Amino acid sequence: MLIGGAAHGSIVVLNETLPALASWLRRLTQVIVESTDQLHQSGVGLDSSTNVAFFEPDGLTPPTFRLASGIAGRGRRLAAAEPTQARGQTPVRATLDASVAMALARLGSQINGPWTVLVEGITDLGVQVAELDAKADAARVALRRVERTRQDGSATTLNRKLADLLATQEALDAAARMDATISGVVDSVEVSTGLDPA
Amino acid sequence: MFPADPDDELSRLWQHLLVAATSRERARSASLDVQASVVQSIESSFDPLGIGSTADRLTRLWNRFDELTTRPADEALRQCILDDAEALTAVVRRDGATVQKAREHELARLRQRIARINRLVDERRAGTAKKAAAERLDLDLARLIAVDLSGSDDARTLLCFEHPSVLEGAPLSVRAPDTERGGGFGPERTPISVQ
Repeated sequence: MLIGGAAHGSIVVLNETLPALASWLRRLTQVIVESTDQLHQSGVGLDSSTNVAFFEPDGLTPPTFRLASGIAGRGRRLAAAEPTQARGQTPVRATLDASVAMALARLGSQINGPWTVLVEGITDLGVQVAELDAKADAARVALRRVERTRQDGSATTLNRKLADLLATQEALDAAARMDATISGVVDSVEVSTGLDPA
Repeated sequence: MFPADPDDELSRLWQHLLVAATSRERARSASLDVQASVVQSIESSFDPLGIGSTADRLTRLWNRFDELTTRPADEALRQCILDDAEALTAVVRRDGATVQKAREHELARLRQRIARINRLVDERRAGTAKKAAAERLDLDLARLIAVDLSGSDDARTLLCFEHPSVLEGAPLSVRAPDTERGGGFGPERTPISVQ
């Protein structure tokens, strides 16, 4: 199986990363259109129009996402109120009713509504960026280490190399112990004197 | 004939292990660098929490609807709502185009990489390079592609090159990545052949 290399990175991006992002944007568009239209179509405009879509109902993908042609540039068709309709009569609206506008405003706090989908996608992207950054940094450090070892390795014997390795490790351990000791001492000084060395 | 010096043998083994480790780390690092740079560039282009982002436009639209609850007959406010909705659709279209452009760009880069891989494989197979040069070729190749052939035939279905593999001497059959057709957001997928 393919396990690495820039070509591998390209293929992961093309087959996984970008399709996942495109899929999230499609889902976001769809939920915005459907949830908004469902509410808007239930209301009545200032001109008594009803069943008017707010966004183009077929525009469920980012490239086709549009304001509905029936409402673009026609603010009076914007439905803020619920229709109050006597049987067989033209729908009318109560002058001060804005219950549909209120429901539309509350879409932002709807569970599994547009905001939820948006935040999920943004969070995933942020986590992915942070995770890949950290992994790429770690991989670069590991690569530098192994390349340095390889460059040094040709001039020495294996025995010498192992001896160097052990010596380096001991030095690192000693440095870590020294660091811990110093930190302990500093903490003790802070506690006993109540002074902040910084 | 004298037996081989054990120290020399160990050194050769050591060198071999170091070259293998370098190849592996180069391959891992190169793949992660590509992935990290693409998601970083998309995140920076989306600017998810910035002014004018999708989140910002959605919030503005909902706030306008909230204003409408107190002034349902305000025609100027109604026009503002429509303008805000237009702005929202524009930013979502822009984000979609960003993903589509990233896909086209990455596909072009993959084609270039595969062409480079094929050239390196040809050079390596020609066998004229000296040991150090061959090692360098292998490491260059590792930066572009690393295949583990120990487990299965997956390599053949993941990526195929017209050229035989340096690693096993058998043809690597390569399937190109799937890409989406049309506007980039349709359900159809079609394989693209990489020559």
